[in-house]
Amino acid sequence: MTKPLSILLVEDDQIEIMKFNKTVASLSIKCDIKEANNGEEALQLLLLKDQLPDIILLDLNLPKVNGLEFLKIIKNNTSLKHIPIIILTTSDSYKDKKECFKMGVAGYMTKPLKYEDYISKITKTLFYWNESELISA
Amino acid sequence: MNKLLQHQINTCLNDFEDISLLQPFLEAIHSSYTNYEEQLKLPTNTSEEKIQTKLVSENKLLLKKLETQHEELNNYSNIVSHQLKSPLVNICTLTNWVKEDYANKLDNKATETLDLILSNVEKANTLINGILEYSTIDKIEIGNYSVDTHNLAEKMIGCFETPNTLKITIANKLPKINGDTHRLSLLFQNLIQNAINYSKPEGGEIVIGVKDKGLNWQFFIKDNGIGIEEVYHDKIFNAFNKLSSKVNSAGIGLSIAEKIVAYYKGEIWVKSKINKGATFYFTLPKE
Repeated sequence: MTKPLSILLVEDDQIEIMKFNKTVASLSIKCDIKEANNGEEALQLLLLKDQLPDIILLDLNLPKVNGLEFLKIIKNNTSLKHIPIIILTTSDSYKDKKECFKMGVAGYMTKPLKYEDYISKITKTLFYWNESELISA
Repeated sequence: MNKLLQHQINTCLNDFEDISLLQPFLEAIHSSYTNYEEQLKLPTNTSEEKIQTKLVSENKLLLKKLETQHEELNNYSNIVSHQLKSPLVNICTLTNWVKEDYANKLDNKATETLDLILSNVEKANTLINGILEYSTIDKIEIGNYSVDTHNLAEKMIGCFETPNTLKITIANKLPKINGDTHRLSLLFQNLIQNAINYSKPEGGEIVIGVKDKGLNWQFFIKDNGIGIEEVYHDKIFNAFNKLSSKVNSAGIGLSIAEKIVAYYKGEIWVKSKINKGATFYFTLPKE
């Protein structure tokens, strides 16, 4: 028996969310997806200690609390900082990348324009993390 | 002189029985006038200093304002590009979904149109990426360190998938210089890309090399492609000036290269004749 890969997607763009869900549904691995439209909502979900995600996919361009601030909060939180966070954003700016890696992200992906490239990226990423040993709290 | 005025002057003169009594008045008027003249000609030392200090502090204020505006513009261009990119990605996603979901209902013309939408969106995206790169390349803070440009050039050449008919070689040993890999990679990448874009379709050759010019290293990248008319030698470094609409690029590669070279206080120029290839030269200071 295999546990599904539990993912917290922090993304405010509804089309991006649809795209992600559609892509994951077509994969051969089992995934359990929770969505948060902004940092606040995500933090609310992360209060549930018995339902922590295996990985977090984080967009940097969020309303209210922006991605970098959210990242900082998680990394400063002793019960949450172990969760691998993978950035999934439109920005490929050197500054953003460096800041994120300094704070300790497990990966940084830019949202590709071409649909096929997106599917390929997400597939490879989720297959990779599915192979990894992970802890939920 | 009319009669009235004459009369007034006479009355005035009559009041002074002795014209000599007018003398002190005239002298007083004369001395105050001279004083006034002197004050006009030579500003005193203190007022000069005051003006200078005022100018200096105004200058400082202006510089500070310019700096803040520069920083704001920088952040602004960052934010604008990211905000602009999201809807572009969405247009691509939705167009792909229409193609997929209605595949059996769309004729060739419809699919062609949808593909045109996708290719135009790609162009817009490339442009935004170009603008972002151009506006931030001289502002990112990375420290300077010794960079082996030979190593770097080889790495960049390896990044390009070129047909077997195109040869890219390095003529001599490229030196170590002070800088950072981010900017220097981009510099070489853009110049090599440019050379590839305008190279001969068959038997194309690109050569990279360097010359010792005392205080500087003078690098060159030479191709035997279609060349550039002298008229355009300056224009090509301007953003978005492409010399061929067939080339799929933002037209900003050379402007970014120029900005990077300027960041290192070097210079960049081109020597070329139409159909006789082009050689791009750029200088970088020695370590």
